[in-house]
Amino acid sequence: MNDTATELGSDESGLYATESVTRFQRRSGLAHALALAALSETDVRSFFRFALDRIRAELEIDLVEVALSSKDFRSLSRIESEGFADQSLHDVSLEAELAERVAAGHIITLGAETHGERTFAAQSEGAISGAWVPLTGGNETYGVLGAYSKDDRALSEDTLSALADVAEVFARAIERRRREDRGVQDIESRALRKNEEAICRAQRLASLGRFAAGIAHELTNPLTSILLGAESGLRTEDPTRARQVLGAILKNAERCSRIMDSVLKFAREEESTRWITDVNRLLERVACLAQNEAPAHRLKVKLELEARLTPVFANPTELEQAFINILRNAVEAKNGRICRVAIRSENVAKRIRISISDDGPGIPAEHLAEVFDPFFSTQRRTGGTGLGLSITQRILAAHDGSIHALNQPRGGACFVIELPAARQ
Amino acid sequence: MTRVMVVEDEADSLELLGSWFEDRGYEVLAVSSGVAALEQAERFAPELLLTDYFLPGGVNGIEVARRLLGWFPDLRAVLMTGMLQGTFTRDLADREHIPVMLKPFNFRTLAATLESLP
Repeated sequence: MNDTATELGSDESGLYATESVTRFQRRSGLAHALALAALSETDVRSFFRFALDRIRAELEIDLVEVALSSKDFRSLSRIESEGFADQSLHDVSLEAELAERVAAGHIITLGAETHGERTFAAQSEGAISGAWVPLTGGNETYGVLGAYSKDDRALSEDTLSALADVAEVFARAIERRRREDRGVQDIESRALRKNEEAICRAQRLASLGRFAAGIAHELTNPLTSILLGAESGLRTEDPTRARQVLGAILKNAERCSRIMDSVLKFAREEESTRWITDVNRLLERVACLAQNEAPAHRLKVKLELEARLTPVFANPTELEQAFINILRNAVEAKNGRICRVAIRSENVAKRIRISISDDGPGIPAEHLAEVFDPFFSTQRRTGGTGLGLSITQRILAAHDGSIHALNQPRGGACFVIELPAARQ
Repeated sequence: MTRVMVVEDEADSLELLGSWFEDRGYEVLAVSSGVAALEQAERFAPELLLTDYFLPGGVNGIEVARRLLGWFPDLRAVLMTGMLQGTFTRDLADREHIPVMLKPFNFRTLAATLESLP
């Protein structure tokens, strides 16, 4: 059985874009950014156009539209859309049951398979699945935010959750517009705007909540294995099996503690002590540490260091952590195969540049922007905590440095780090 | 012998769940992705499905359950999901009438859930 699992689990690229990836920063940032844009945009339709464009790009959705409901909810008319070849505006009539669900503010998933009988306009554009997310503000539903996909993957829960946040922003924009249309006193509308600023703050807090949820979610899987393992271990009479499950419990408990460790490191933000640091010496030490740490000498590091590298003003322990996280990442991406890493240092104007490239599977282009997000992990099964690279990015940012991820033309990922040279 | 298919991408959980069912006399097929589940379902013809919601490779647990229920109308399915994955998973599962078991869970919960199935 294990064999089946391993065989199926090992993807050719070694990198898994698991759906459980929490695209925490980007997605929670989207609703927040749009809420701010809604405040500064007086024309609600041009706000929708801008917002739909952003949604498509950020959430990687093929087709999006805003459609408003008629009074009886029996028809929806598209007011703005992005990604549709046919830009002419459409009305769709809904059967009673569906109209009722729209009115009640339910998210409605659309798919050829599950609702074969249900047709939706975007199908003529090649959409196969999708969802209608209600635009509900106060007690009123104004219409739906429609999102459709051209492949048969249902929209992920993550995406739906981000869409629900955005739909709320849309509903508020419509609500405000209607109030203004009804000639509500300027003063009241200003109060409403104030209220929205409060909502923006609340959204920032909500994204903190999502961060906490991310941590809890990371812990859920190893905890399940621990619970099941402990119960099996207590029940078995076979000492070999008992040792085997104890091993699994230990491994998963270690994973939990690694996650907690990373969270703590991530949360810590105190000012660190800094002094003139020779990054070459630091890189030699990092190479040595990482090689010793990698199981069965599976990491080979080649150093190409600039002989006269300008020193930087830094906290060496933190920088060491930043570099080690990158090397760990490279090792994990190789799934137990030998990992070759080249580290280069060079002077570039008033900065120094360190490039760390590996011979792993690289980073799928669509994930390049996300690799530094907390809990964006493609390596859950190999025990990554999902925070390594975000800690690295944070350390470098605190040092006024930068880090970028790219793929090398001949394969493998490359992280390019720049740090300001210490003033002489 | 009841045939159970377990779909879970956490290798340890998968193995532990598989052994638990085997000890109870089930015929077990354990797979670690939704795609694999769909590929192997026809030959295995499961009577019981226990699947995680989040699965690698683009087919989630609800998709697996939906399709398998389409092929095997008598199939009994249970969805496993993390506690904080919110209401969406539950809503989706409710709509399909698939019972949900929140992670982390223990074998007692699993046994109770299985007993409660029609």
